Amino acid sequence: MTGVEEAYLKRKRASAAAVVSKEDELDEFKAIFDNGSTKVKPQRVTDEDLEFFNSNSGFHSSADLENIQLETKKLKKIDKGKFDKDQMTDSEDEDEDSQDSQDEKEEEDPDYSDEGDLEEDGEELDEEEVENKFIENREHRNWTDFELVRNRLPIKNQDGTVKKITEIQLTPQVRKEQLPFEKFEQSKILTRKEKRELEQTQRKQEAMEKKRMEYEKREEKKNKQKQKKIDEDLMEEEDQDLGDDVIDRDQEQDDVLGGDGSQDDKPMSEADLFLKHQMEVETAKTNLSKLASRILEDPERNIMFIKDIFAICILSQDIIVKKLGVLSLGAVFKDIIPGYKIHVDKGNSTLERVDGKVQKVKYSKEIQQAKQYEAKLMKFYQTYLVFIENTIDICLNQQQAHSAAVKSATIFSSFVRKGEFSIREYGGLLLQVIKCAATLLVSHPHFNFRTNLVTIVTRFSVYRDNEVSTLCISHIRDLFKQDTTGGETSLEVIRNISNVAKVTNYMFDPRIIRTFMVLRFNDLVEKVNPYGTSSEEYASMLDKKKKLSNKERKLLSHNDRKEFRKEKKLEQEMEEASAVYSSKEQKYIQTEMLKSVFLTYFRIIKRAPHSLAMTSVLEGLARFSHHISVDFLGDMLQALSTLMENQVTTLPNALNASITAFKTVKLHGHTLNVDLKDYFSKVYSMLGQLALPSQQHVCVLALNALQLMLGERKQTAVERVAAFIKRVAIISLSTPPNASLAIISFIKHLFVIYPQVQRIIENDGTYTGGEYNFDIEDPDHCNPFATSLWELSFFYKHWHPAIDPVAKRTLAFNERASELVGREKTPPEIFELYDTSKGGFNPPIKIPADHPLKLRAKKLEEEKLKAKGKKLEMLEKQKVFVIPSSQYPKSSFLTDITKQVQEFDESSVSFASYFTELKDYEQELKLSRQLKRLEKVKIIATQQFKLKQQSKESKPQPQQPQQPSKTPTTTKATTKTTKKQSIKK
Amino acid sequence: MRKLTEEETKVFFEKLIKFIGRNISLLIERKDEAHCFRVQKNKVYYVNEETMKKAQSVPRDSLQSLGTCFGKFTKTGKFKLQITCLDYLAQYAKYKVWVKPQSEMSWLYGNNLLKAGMGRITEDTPANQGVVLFSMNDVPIGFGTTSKSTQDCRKLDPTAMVVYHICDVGEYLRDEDTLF
Repeated sequence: MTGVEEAYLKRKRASAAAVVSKEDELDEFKAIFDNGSTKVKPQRVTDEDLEFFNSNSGFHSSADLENIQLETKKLKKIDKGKFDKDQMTDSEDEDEDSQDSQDEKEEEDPDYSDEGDLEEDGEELDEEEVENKFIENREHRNWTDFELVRNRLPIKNQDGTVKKITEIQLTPQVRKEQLPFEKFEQSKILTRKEKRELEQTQRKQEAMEKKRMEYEKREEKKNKQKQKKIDEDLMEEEDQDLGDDVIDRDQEQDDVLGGDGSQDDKPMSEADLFLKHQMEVETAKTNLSKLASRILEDPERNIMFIKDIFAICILSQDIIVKKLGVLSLGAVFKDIIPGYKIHVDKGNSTLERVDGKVQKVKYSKEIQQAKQYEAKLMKFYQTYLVFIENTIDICLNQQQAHSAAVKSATIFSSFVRKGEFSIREYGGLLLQVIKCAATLLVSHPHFNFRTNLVTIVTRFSVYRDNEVSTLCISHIRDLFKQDTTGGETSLEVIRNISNVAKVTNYMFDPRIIRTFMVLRFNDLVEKVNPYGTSSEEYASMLDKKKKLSNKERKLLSHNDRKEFRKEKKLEQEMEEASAVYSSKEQKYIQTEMLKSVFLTYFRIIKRAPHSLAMTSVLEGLARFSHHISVDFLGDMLQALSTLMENQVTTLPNALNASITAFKTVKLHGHTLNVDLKDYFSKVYSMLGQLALPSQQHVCVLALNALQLMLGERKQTAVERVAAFIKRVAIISLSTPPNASLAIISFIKHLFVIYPQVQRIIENDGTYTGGEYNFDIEDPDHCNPFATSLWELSFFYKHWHPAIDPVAKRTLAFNERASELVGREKTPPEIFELYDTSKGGFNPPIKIPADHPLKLRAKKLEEEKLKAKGKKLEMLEKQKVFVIPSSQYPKSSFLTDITKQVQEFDESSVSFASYFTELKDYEQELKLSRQLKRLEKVKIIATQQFKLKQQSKESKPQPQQPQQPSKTPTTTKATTKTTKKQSIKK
Repeated sequence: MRKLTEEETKVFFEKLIKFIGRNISLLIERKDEAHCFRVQKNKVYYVNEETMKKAQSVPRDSLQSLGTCFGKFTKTGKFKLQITCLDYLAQYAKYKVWVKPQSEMSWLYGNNLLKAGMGRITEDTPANQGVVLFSMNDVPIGFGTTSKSTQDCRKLDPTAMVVYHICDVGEYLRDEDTLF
C-alpha cells in the first residue's frame, strides 16, 4: 500500500508543521484513535476512505485493527468489480474521460435541439409529436440551460431570413433525419439521468433499511454479548458478521459519492442538491443518535463507540454533520462523566489496558474493569478536548486568513470550494465547539482537565462575536451560581478573567465583570485586603494539623504515639475521601476568590478609569464593600476619591462609588469618623440628572445611596441636609409619580432625623446668609434656608391617590411624625410598590360607585321578591321598570341641576325673546337693502332709456352682444339685460 | 478707610484661601448685596456697600468700626485673622473638624486639639491646612491648622495633637478689651 507510506510521511510533516492542514489533521486524529497499536498506519485519506469510515462506523470500533486492514483490501476488490458492472449500465463516475465526454454531450445537446426546435416552429408543422416531446424535454431540462439557450436566441432568426452559415448549409431534409436521432439521444440521456437518480434514491432507502437491519442485528448481538463478557472477541465476531452488510453499504455509498463527484460538472438542480444534502444530514443524525444511545445504555462496555462519533465528526465534509458530531460528543461526555475526579495512575494502569494481561498490582475483577473504563474515558475525553482546541485554532486561523484575503480582494467564491467552508460556517462551528466546552465546564467542574475548559471559556468571553461571548458569559454566571467544587473552579475562572481583562487592556464587555455579582460569600469569609499578603492561616493550619506541640508529644507514651499516628493517617484519608469541604477550606477558597475579585476591581479603577466596565466595577464594589478590611480602607478611599474627582461622569457611577465609600466608612467608622465631603458634593452636583427620563432606573439606587449618606446617622450638617432636600424636591417635580412619592417619603424621613431642617418648609424671611443658589455645585454653600419647600405644595392635589396623604403629612410639620415613620415603608419599597414601568395604573383605577337609581332599582326588586314570594314566577315574567320621574326628586345631582337652572332663569334675561328680536331685525334689514338696490336699478334704467331714445333720434346704434343675467330682480326680463350692462359701466 | 493695596490684598487673600479655598469668590460676588473689603486703622473689614458709602462721610480718626472685622495687618505686613470672621469662615470652610463635647471647653480656653477630642474630620484633609472647628451640633467654635492629614490621623494615639489653635470663640470674653 503506497497510501500508507504517504500518510505516514504526511503525518510526520503535520506534526512538525505549526498549521495543520485539514487532511493532515484527519490523519493525526486517526493516529490518535489508533494509538496503542502501531502495526497499522493510517491510510491516506481519499474520498473512498472517507466513505469507508463513515459506513464502517460500527465496524471500525474494535481495537484490533488488523481485521480492518484485511477488510479494506477485500472491500476494494469487490468495489472494483462493482465498478465494472456499473460501467455497463450507468454513466461511469469513476472514469473521468467517459464522464467528460458525456457531459460535453449534455451541454451541447440542448442547443442543437433548440435550434432544431425553432426551425420547426417556422417551417415543419407536421412533426407535432416530436415537437411535443421537445417541449416536454425542455421542461425537464435544467433552467440554467434554458436560460443559456434563450440568450442565444436573438442571433438566429425565426423567419429564416438571416441565418448562420452552419444552419443554412443544413437542408430541411438533413435536419429531419438528424432530429429524431438527436431526440433519441436526448431522451436517452434524460432517462439515464432519471434512472440514476431513481436508483440513487432507492439505494439510499435500501441503505437506510439495511442500516436499520444492521442495527437490529447488532442489538441481537448485544444481547448475546451480555451473556459473554469479553468485549474484544465479540467485536471481532461482530465485525466478521457484519462484513457483508458493510460491503454493500460501502458500494452504495461509493455510488453516492460518484454522484457527488459529478455534481460539479453536471448541472444538478438546486432542489436535488438540497435533497441530497438533507438526506446526508439525516443519515448522519440517525447514526449519531444510535451511537450515542448505545453508549449511554451501557457506558462501561460501549465506550469504544465514542471513536465512531469521532470518526463521523472528523471525517465528515459537511459542516452540519460536523457540528452535530461535536455537539453529540459533548452531550455524551456530559452524561457519562462520573461525579468524581479520576485519579490517574501513571504507567501501570495504561500498561494494563494495552497488554490486557500484564498486571503488577492485583485488583479484583470489578475494580479492574472500572479502572479500565476510567482510563478509556480519560483518554477519549482528552482527545475530545484536543479536538476542541484544534477546531478552535482552525476556525480562528481560517477567519484570519479570510480577513487577510478580503483585504487582498480575492473573489469570495474561491473560498467555498469542496472541502472548505465559508467563514460563516466556521463561525457556526466555533460557536458549537465553545458551547460544548462551556456546558462541560458548568456540568462537571470537578472533572479532570478543568483548566483547559476554564481557559477556553474565559478566553472567548471577550471574543468579538457577540453570540460566542454571550454564551461564555452566561455559562460563567451559571458556574458561579452553582459551583459544585466549593469555589475552586470559580476561583480559577475569576483569576483567568482578571488575566483576560489585563490582556484586553481593560476594554472589554462589562458583562463579564458583572458576573461577579452572582458570587455569594458566606459568613466564613474574612475581611479582605486585596493587596495584602495571602492569608497564611490556611497553610499554617494545614501544618499544625500534622504536628503536635512538643509538650504534648512528651506527655504521650510510646503506644499512644503509635495510636496517634494511626489516627492521624486515618483522618487524612477520610478527609481526602470526604466530598464535603471543611469550613476552613471553604474559608480559604472564598477569601481567595474575594481577594481576586477585588484585585480585578481595583486594577480597573487604578489602571483603566475610562474602561467601559467601570459601572459594573463600582456596582460590584458597592455590593461587596462590607468585605473590605480596615487596612485597605485608606487606600481604597484614596483610589475612589481620585476617581470621583476626575473620572466619574455618570450618576450611577457616582452613586455606586459613594455607596462603597459610605458603607466601608460606616463599617470601620470606629477608628476615625470622617466627613466624606467630596462624595456629597459630587452626588449633589450630579443628582439633577435624575430628572432625565433616561436616568429613571437609577432612582432606587439614588434613594439607597442618599439613605446611606444622609439617613443613617445624625451627623451631617443641617445646611447640607437641607440642600439635598431642596434639590431632591425640585427633582421630584419631573419624575414619575412613584419616584416622586418615594422622594417625598424620603424627605419626611429626613425631617424626622433632623428636626431642625423642618424650618425649610416655612420661610419667614429672616435668613441673612444670602440667596438660594440652585445651580451651585457645593451643597454647603447654596443657602437652602433662604428658600422654602414650595415644591411639596404641588403634591397637595395630585391625581395619584397615594401621593397627597403623604405630602400632607410631610407638610404637617408636627413632632409626632417620628412616631408615624416607623410604621411606613422605606422609599425604595414605595418606589417598587407603585411602579408603573410595565404600563397600566398602579394602584388601579377605582370603579365608580353605583348610580343611586341603580341601587334603588336593586332594592325595589329585592323588596318585591321578598314581599311577594308567592308570585315569584309572575314577577319574573313581568320585568320591573324604574320610572326616572318617580325617582326624580331623590337624585341629588338632578335636584342640584334643576335648582341651578331655575336660579339662572330667574336672574338672567330670557334669551328666547332676544333671538326673535334679532331675527326680525335682520329680516327688516334685508328688505330695506333690497329696496335700495331696486331703486338704484330703477334710476339707472330710466337714465339709460332716455339716452337710448336720444341716440335713436340722432344715429341708429349698432346692436351689442347681450349677456344673459340671473339677477333675481322683480323687474321684467326684457329690460333687465340692458339695465345690467349699464350698471357695469 | 481705604481700599486694600495690591500687596495687602495678596497677603489677605492668601490667608483666607487657606481656610475657604475657592469659595472666596462667593464671599466677594454675593448675589443679594454687594460686599467689599476695606482697611481702617490696619484692620480689614467686610462691609456691604451701602454701609461703606455711609461710612465714607465719617472722618478716618473718628471711625471706630464698620461691618465685620476679619483681622488686622501686623507691622511686619503679615495678616492675622480675628475670631470675628468666624461666621464667614464657617460658612465657606473647605475642611472642617468636629470637636467632641468633652474637649470643647479645653479648646475654648485656647488649647490645641488632641486626637481624643476630635469627633469627626473631613475626608482628605491635608496636613498644615486651615480648618474650622465645630461642636458636634454644628456650631462653629474657632479655627486652627491641622498637624496631620486625615490618613495619618487614623494611626495616631489619642494624646497626639491634631489641630493647632489659632482662634476660638472664648476670645470674645478673654480679649474683650482689645477685640473691638
